Amino acid sequence: MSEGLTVFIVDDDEAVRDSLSLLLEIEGLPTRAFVSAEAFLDAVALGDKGCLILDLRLPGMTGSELCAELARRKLSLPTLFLSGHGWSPCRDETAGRVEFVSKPVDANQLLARVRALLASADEAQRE
Amino acid sequence: MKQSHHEAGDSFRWVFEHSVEALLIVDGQGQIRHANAAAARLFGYSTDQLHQRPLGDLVPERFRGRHAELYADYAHQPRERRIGSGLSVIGVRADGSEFPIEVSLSPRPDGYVLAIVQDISERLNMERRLADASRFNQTVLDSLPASVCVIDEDGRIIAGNRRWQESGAGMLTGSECVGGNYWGALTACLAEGGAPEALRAAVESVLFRRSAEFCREYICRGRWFEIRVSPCGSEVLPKAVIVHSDITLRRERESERRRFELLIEHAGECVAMTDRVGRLTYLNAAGRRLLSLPDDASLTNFRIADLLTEESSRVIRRQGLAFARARRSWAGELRLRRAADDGLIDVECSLFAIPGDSRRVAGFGAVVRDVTERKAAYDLLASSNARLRVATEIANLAVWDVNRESGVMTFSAEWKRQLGYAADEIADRWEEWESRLHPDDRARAVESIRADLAVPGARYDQEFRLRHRDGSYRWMHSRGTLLTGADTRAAHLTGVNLDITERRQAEQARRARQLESERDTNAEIASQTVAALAHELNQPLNAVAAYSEAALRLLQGDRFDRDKLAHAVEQSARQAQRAGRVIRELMSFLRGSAIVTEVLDLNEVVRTTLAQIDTDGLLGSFSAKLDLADPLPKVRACRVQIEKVLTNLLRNAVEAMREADHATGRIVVNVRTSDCGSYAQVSVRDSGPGLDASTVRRIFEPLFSTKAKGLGMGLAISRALIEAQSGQLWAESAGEGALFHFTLPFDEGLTG
Repeated sequence: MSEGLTVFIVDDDEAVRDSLSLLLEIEGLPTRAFVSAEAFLDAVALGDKGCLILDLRLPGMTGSELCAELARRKLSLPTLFLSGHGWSPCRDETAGRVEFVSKPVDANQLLARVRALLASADEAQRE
Repeated sequence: MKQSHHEAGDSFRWVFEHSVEALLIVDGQGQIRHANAAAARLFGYSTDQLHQRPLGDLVPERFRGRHAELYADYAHQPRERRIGSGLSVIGVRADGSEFPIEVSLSPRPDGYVLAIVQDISERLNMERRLADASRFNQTVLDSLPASVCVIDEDGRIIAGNRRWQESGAGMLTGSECVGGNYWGALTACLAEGGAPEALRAAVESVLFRRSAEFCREYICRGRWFEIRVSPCGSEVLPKAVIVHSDITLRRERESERRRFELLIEHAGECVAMTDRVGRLTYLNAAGRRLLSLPDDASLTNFRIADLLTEESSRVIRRQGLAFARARRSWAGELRLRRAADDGLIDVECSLFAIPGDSRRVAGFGAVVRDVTERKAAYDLLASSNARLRVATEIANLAVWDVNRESGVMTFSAEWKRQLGYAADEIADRWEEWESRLHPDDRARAVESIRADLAVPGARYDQEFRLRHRDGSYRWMHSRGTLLTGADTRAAHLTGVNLDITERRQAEQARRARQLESERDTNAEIASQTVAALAHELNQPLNAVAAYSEAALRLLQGDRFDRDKLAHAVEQSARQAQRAGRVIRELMSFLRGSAIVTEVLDLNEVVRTTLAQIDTDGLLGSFSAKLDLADPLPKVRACRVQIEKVLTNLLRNAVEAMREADHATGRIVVNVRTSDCGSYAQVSVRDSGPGLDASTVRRIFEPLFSTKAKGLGMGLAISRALIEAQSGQLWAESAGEGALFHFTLPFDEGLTG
């Protein structure tokens, strides 16, 4: 697995953040969790690489608004949405690669997706 | 002495011979010794022939035997005697003819008898005539229709005709009628204020010749009499004839006539009478007022013809008089000209002939009513009617009109056009309206119009459907008013129909849209509620899933970490609890906050709900029948929720029948006391395809639906709502169609 890649988790639910972080860390993936889109934007820097796990329902800035903002800042992080249904929240193709996983998550499926996103982020970095 | 005796004898002989009386000297044996000339003349003999004749020869032969006996008796004891005053003695002449005689016998000292014979036939005749005359007078008096009596100076009643004797003119009875005292009778019968003294004084003044006859009326024992007193008798023996006539009937007729006169005089209508040539002879008060004549005006100057306009005068001459002469009355309109100011008066006149004594007409009578104002009003009405008709046609008003008296109904051209007909294609008849009414509206519309016809000032306001020529029904808003004039017979119910079919259709469409959008909104709310619920449950479930996976991985291979494992399992359990809390909160939210119960008349709620559904057009072509147990104890429930449940059941029923492509169908809603007695039970049965046993088992599961559309939450929610109110909701597969029941507890506080 490539060095310097982080899985960013944005979810207002403490239990979701904690359980996902625990699961990903056990699988050896570094994670950073944020309680809201605003908190994530405050902390994220241009050099940060990896992928983003984003809850569709967020207080304040929503998941799709965050996508748009990241695209504007040229912070192209492949994103995995956690949603109740399978619908697309973000039509902006410039936001980069977007994946969906339904809640409650299937751990194997989640990990496979996250790894795939990180791989694509790593490729993008090398180009 | 002898000489003087002799002279005296000669002298007697002379008298005997020359006496006008018939004298016979008869001896004791009945032989005639001497007869004078008068006697010879009387019996038709010569004096010589009578000499020595038996007296019996002068008596008819049939009496001779008896006569001889009587005479022998007489001669035996002779005395001065008059024989046969009457017809008992009859003489017979020489020629055999008989005649009545009267005989006086005087015995002489020498034994002879002097008989003086008188012919009394003349006297008998006179007596007979006198008796005849008297009988005649009595008959006349008796046949008089009056009671006649004669009184003397003391007031004693000395005679009376038969009528008087029978009735006593109401004063006296029986034997008192003749022989009684007139003054006493007068006082007794006129005691009550009849002034008997004054009447007696008046009678006495005639009786004693102080005044000529007099006549007066008096009332005696309730009947009216006329008394007419004339003097008779002499000054020495004054008498008076009093004639009493009962005039009660005459007076009654007179007073009746006077009442009629009064009635006619004061009648509201003018009454006039003319003679045969049309001269006014009588005009009552109303007539004088009509012609502006003073009460004391002389009528003799007026001829009927002078009071009429020329045209009316012609009408009367040509038609009226001819009709009246033919003993038929004539009625018509005339125009009078008032003499005082030349003003014209329109009148209705009926004319009749007054029959005279012979076959000729005595005159004419007329009853006249002033119709000037009515005619003016009628002209005005006619012209305003005409204007209204024109306005009606110009404004395209669908006007209808019912005459209360005749029941005739008329329609304007537009009324007919509204139904697709030309003006001449529908007759102006009540049936044309009634037969076109929609069967569901007919009774109501007809009953209402009949009721309004009976109430002055009533306003008709109804909506009903009328059949168009093309077979469709048009909704009409019909409004009218009962118009009554002074003449109530001319009352009309007139109104206008407004075709509101489009408006009603638009209204129905709007309601349908509203219902649709309500349903959409409800679906939206449901979907958002479900989404929110999903999120609230997904968060802890997601955490549980992630913790469990993490724990599983920690237990596998070489990554075992006791602390992390404990954390994952502990958090997993906590999140499962969290999910349960979400469910409990949701349930308590559904239960607690939404339900406010009240005491309800379940029948009323069911009736209202069904009416609302019908109004909303939900039933479509299907019908609903109510079967209510009435009275029913009150229940305790939440009205809004019961309405929602019932609406949901009815909607399901309609949709089930519609999806089965049933063109018609019936829903029966039954309300009664449940079998156990402490619940009210509402049952809804449709005539759709029904439910099979497996459907009945699953139909209350959330998301279970046999319908093409819908979430399948309706029955689940309905059951939750009913159970929240301590009732039950269930379905039954028995019988035809689907059958749902729900129960609600009776409000024991009221019923117990």
